[in-house]
Amino acid sequence: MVIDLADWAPLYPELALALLIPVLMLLDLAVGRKRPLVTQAVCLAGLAVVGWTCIVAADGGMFGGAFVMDSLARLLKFAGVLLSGLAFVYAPRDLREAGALRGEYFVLGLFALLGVFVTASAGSLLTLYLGLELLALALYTLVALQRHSALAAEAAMKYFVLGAIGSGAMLYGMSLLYGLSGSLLLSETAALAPESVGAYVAAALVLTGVAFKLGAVPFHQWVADVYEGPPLGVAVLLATVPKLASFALIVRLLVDGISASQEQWNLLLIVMAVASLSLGTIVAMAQTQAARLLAWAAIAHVGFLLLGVVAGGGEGLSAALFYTLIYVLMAAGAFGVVIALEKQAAPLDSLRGLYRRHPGMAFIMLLIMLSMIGIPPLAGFLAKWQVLMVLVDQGLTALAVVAVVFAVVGAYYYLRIIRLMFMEAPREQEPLKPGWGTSVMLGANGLALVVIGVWPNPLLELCRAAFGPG
Amino acid sequence: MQQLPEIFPLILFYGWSGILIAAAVGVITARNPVHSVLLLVLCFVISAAIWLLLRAEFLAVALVLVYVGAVMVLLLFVVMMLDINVERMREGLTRYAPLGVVVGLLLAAQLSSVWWLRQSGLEIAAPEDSLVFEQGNTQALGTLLYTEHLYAFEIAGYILLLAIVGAITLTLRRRRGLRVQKVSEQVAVRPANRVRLVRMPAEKDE
Repeated sequence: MVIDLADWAPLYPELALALLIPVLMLLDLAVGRKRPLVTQAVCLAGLAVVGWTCIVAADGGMFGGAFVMDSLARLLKFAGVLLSGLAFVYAPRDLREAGALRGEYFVLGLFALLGVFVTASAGSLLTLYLGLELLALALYTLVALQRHSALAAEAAMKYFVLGAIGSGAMLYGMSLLYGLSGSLLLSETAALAPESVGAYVAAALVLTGVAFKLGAVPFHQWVADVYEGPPLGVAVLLATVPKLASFALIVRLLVDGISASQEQWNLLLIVMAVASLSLGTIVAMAQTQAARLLAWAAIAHVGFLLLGVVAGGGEGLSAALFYTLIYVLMAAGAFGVVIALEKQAAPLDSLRGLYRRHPGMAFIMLLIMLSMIGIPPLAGFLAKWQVLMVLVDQGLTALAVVAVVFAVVGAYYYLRIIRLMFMEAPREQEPLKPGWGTSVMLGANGLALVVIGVWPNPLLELCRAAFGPG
Repeated sequence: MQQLPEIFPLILFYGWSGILIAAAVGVITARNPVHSVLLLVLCFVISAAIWLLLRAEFLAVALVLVYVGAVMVLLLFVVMMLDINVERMREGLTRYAPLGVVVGLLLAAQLSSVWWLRQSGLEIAAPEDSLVFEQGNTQALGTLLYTEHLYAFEIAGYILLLAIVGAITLTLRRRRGLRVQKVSEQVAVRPANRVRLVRMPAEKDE
């Protein structure tokens, strides 16, 4: 039998990444033991190739619809490559101080990315679940990577147990969906009659699983500990890449898979979104650790993007997608700055007087914080604007008002960081010396927020194209 | 081929089931834990035989290979190596009996609900099994796994690879002060490193 490579064109990104993982493992074994930075360099080069395959891969379904490559999958995959590239550049400095800089970090990061790929283009319950498990297992291991740290072990344990509960709930829901519809394909489970009790239970269980993965209230308890426990180099990966898979999960499983019972789960989603917004914003104010602050802020941001999903339709989903992409970019940059600052579990105090120690970095952090608040003309403003516009268009003005109120309240802790950086005297006097790779990437990260903010149309178009011609 | 009488599979089924139940009772009542494990092996083998009777030969082979071949051997090792205090374990028998009764009742209720559903004349979809029986289910499974579910199958492979990498990453550690042989150093040793020739006078000077 002759295998025509052109038949596999939609699968190029997965194939490239699946090839890169064993190559990197063997390389790390051969030369990376003593020099993890060689592994890092090869990993980044490989990621560049994978990113290129994301662009050239053809659209289409394979394996009877179990695998779907479309604009949404392409965008999420490319964003995943970009973000793991950022994380891989930011992380080593922190990992070395934590004594956890080993080649496995990169290998496990790539496994997680493969999980995102599989989830992003899943067309059946089976591939969706396998992708999520691949992602989750890689993340559990990454959290526990710093072996002698009790805090990391505790975080890994919590993440593992709660993640397993979430996966279990989702799997139970999926099994009900399969049992009721007789098909694994998401396109066929969508046709399930909404009025049966089984479909209700399945939708509720699936939604529970999705909320667990997202870290939406009331399934958010793991988030703060899991961001704080491991080295920041792991946390930066944890805070960004899985969010893409979670978004894919929302679209593929909720919006496509159980669209018939949308009325029911939309109500639950509204409750979750408002609860996440309020609790995330309020608790974030009391935080003194940078990682915990970013974790609670992440919960609030999840609430915001859920509002986009609630608004629904192509408009709402593309607004939510835009919000997700901008949010992960901001989170990566914020973690990047904190990593460049100091040792592990940086207290917010370490940001004190950053302007005197390294004006450039303070300026980038300023951009990120302003963007998180949603100050025009930065990208974060547009992301919030898009979601709010769709909400108002759909007649959900009350929700839009709630969102604005919490966005304003949330400005408090971002402004506090800005005040610490610019108006306080530094505790340590010596200037910071971030590596050139980190400097360049942080600069690009901050610049991207400005560029997208001023000139958002290309990305907006891509987000709209991801949700069909409508 | 001469057709076997209709009753023959039935006799086999009840015979094997009897042995299976007896062996299962033996597993929990045997005084010697090694006997328990060996009886459990018997349970698995008989179950495999019953599956063969149901023409599910792949499941039967997998059960024997995986459970008897790997899991039970491991369990046997553990049981033999650990010094289990049998008397202590027996103390729990009466204490946990009420829980056991509850679980048993639940199980009975479930089984009877299936029977009741059958009786109530509810239509239960029969599996489309003609193909499976025609070519044997090993072949049918293989065909499905390597065509329709190839993608999922390969991802499962990557999950296993990840499990290995993760387990080794988290547990392999080179502790200091561990008394291990360093073969390369042993081979490369020279006499001068180990033996010190001391020049001594033959007699002690006074």
